[in-house]
Amino acid sequence: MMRRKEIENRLSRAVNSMRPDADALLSACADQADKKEACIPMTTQQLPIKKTRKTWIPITAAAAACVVLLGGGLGVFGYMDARRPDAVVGLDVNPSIELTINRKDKVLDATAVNSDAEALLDGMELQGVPLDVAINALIGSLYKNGYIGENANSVLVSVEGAGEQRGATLQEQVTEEIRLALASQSVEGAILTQEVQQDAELQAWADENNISLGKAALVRELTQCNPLLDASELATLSVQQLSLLADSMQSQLTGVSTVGTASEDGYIGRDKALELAAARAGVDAGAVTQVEIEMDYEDGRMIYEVEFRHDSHKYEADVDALTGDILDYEDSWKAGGSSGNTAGQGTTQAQGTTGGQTAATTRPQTAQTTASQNRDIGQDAALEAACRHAGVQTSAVTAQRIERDVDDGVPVYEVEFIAGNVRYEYEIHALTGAVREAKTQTFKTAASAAAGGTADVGRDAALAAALEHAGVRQADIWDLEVDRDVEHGVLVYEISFQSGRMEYEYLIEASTGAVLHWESEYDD
Amino acid sequence: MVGLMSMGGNARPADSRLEGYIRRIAGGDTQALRALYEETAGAVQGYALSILRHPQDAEDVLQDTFIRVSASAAGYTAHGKPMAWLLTIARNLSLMKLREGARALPVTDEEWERALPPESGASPEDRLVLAAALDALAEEERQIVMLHAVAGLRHREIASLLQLPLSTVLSKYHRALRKLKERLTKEAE
Repeated sequence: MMRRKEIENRLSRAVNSMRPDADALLSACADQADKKEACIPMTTQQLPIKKTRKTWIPITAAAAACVVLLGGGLGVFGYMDARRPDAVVGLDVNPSIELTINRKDKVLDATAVNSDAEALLDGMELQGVPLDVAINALIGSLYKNGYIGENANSVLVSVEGAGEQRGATLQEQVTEEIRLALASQSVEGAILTQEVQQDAELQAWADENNISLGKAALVRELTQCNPLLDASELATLSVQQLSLLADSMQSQLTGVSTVGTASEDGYIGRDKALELAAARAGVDAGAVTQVEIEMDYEDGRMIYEVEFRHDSHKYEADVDALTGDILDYEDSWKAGGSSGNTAGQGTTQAQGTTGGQTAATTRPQTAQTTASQNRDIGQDAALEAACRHAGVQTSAVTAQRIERDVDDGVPVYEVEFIAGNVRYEYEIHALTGAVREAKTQTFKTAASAAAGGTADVGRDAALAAALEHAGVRQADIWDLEVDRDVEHGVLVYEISFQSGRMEYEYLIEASTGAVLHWESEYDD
Repeated sequence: MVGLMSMGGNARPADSRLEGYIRRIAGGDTQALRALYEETAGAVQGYALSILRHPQDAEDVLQDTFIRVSASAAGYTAHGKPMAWLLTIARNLSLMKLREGARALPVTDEEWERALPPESGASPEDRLVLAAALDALAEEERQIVMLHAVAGLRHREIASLLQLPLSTVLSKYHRALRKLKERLTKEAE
């Protein structure tokens, strides 16, 4: 029977043998060069086709049927015209409401798209009311019911069905109406407007996620610009949260215009986020440069992505926008990197090291030096150089990966290891042993969160825990794979092996050796 | 001395290098596009193949992905996840292709012949394993196997890309490999 490795290798070889020559691709790209777009096209992965749009088409059909029944006559046509739906204006705050209007901007129908909207519309008589009056009444009610306020100042306006020109005018009118209505309550609104088209696929996805078509269109726009965002997760966010995300990628959004700024009053704020991240880095927040702060949504949380530089270090931290917890923290340093000079190099390297640097680390690191020194230092020396820089003992780390590579023409070792609750990534010059790049990433272990410690039972103990659980001896297993990784901020060992005719796999918590997940199956 | 842990599948290129290429592509550097292609085409094609199951469809998506990359490199925000970006583009284009009408399955012998001619470097056994993977595995299993074995992604990275828990990715991966072994054993008999 074929081994796992053999299968993997064959798959890889087969696919890699298929790929066409790069030249054909390059000429195709040259042909397309004038069709540059800011964003990649619509994200389709979470938008399955299920149902078709229900509301808009039947209304039109009913109106058409009326014409046939009522017959001719000027009065009838005038009557029909007033009843003919011309556009739908969607309002999303959290309650989602759709107002169907005629050509004279009179409301024909007000539809509640979710249950909050049902409660809001209950007792409100909007039919036959001019659109501006209806908007005013709705905004007033949204404010009174606490849906809009200082902390949540965003409203999404989606106009559907009107032509391009009328659509644009409607967007402007409605935006201004909302802005004024909010201003009268002393709220400075953030109003997002967009034109939406009838789109059965998008409507089906909206229905499936219990959101309005307008909100679905905004989610699609956001995921187009940042494919790492997940559409079905975004569907669960409030319009305020989506508005904050839209703010941070405003320059890239093509289909949405914004008036006003989404309020961050419900969150810790950018200054506080920077202060916390700088404190984590041990530097003065006032002394950092090239600060970039953006709001993002990751793992179910609104976060501030804080990036800044200090000396030749680049720091990145994900700060929980609600609690201020540092969720992810990285410190990268590059030889002669961001600051553009090598003078800072010695200073930086001195940090976090116990002894002095070897002479090798201060040598110029250009490709030319490779000519005079062509002896590869080897994996062990590369790891030692990285550990010396990190200020940890080689005996205290487990190398997770050491690979030889070539970067910008320079032979290097890429070294990755974990010590304590820090993951280190180094690029070490393969001939001189010089540190070219260093990066640290701090994570939490369950134990360290509870006790302030950073325990790791180690590979052997983790394997022993798995073997004990499986009830097999190490001598009786084969195809063993052990990988150490971080899952949801917790350090784990992924262990898989075969024994007898059984296949086993385990997820062991590194800090405690506890079995978090296991599976075994008979391999026939 | 410190022991090295095993790494499954194909080694993957360094993220920083790929981001460097993307930056240069944004500036119109065709050599950078070529370099990016050389290093990642296998991963992109493998992933497209896992969704579309047809080598010619996957090849179309491969080409479209890089056209798209060259057009939207300027809009790429460096988050240290260039591979995820690339693969997400490939996924979107693959799904679009599926909706627009992909080629009929199963892949015929002639089509395999065209995709992997004898001079391509792949052995008949390699082709057999690939065909079995496309045929015997469920969609998610195919994606996970291709992303690990061909694209060289770690299970954690696959979990993040496919929005699945790591434990699910692990168990699906092992189940897929087991299925594949069974299928190949049966075919050999």
